[in-house]
Amino acid sequence: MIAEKNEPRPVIAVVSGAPLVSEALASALGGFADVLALPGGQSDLTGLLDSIQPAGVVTDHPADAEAAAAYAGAARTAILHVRIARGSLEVWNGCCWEETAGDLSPELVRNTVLARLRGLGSAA
Amino acid sequence: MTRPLVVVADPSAVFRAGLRVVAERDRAFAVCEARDLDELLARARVEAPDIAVLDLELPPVGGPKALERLASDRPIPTLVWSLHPTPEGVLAAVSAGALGFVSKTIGATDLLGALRRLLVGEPALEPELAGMLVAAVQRSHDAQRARESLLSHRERHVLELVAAGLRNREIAGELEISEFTVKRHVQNILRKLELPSRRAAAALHAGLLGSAGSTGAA
Repeated sequence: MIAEKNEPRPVIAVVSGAPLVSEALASALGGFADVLALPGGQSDLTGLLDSIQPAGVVTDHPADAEAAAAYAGAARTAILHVRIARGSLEVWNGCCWEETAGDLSPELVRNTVLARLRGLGSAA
Repeated sequence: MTRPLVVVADPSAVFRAGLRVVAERDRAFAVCEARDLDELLARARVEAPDIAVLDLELPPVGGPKALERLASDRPIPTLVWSLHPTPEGVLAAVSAGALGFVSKTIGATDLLGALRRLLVGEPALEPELAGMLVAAVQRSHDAQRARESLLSHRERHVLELVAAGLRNREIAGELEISEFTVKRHVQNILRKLELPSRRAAAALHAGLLGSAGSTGAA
């Protein structure tokens, strides 16, 4: 799943209503992925993700997180829910959300996306 | 040429990073970060930032009180921001001395514009937040009028003189009543307006609702 030499970089969709959140996460993820920033709160996000087929989705909005989880149901995708107000990060494990250890930061998001992509890749 | 330094004080590492990415990409500002009030005050002393961006909920006392502490330590033009702005939040921040207020959903270009305005001492308020501020001030005035309507004509007159800084003896002379009666009027005013002191009553009368409840002793 992680790009090796000559392999395409994974596409990560960052879905947020706050441009600064997108900027921070795009900066953190940009070292290994192509980041697609999408505005939060769109209707039919699941359909949009179906058409984009990202390797991962990071969002800060509960409704968007659920839409992303619905998309992940049919695809091997890393889905992360950034909970700004609580300062925590949750990962969709295929059936429920699991909280990640550590204080929320762009680096924690980056590391969690990488670990999740590697896990999904090795399980494939 | 040295870039102006922005200190961003926010418990969220994501928003601190977002501001840093935007400001440094533009090469208009350098950025230093603080997670809470203590770090903010330390940064302000050591690095002498040119402007500050404070979260409305900055731990442990909130943005407005943090701003007052910062101002007493080292005044800096300050922008307060919040993910969910409310009229009361905007009013509290501006009353505490904020030169600007923006939503955390602000775009990069608008944020940089707001920082540039602060740098030259101009206020920065998004149009919808300006509307919130007007509404909050209006509500404060309405509440003040409602509270003052509880007072009798004589008590309102006494309150005006208290607000003008007159002592009880001077008020008694002005109104040609006894000092004891003036004292009783003042007690009634404080009771009806639910205020702790005559200074608070004077501040309320002057429209300083934000500080009315915390002013000095009776």
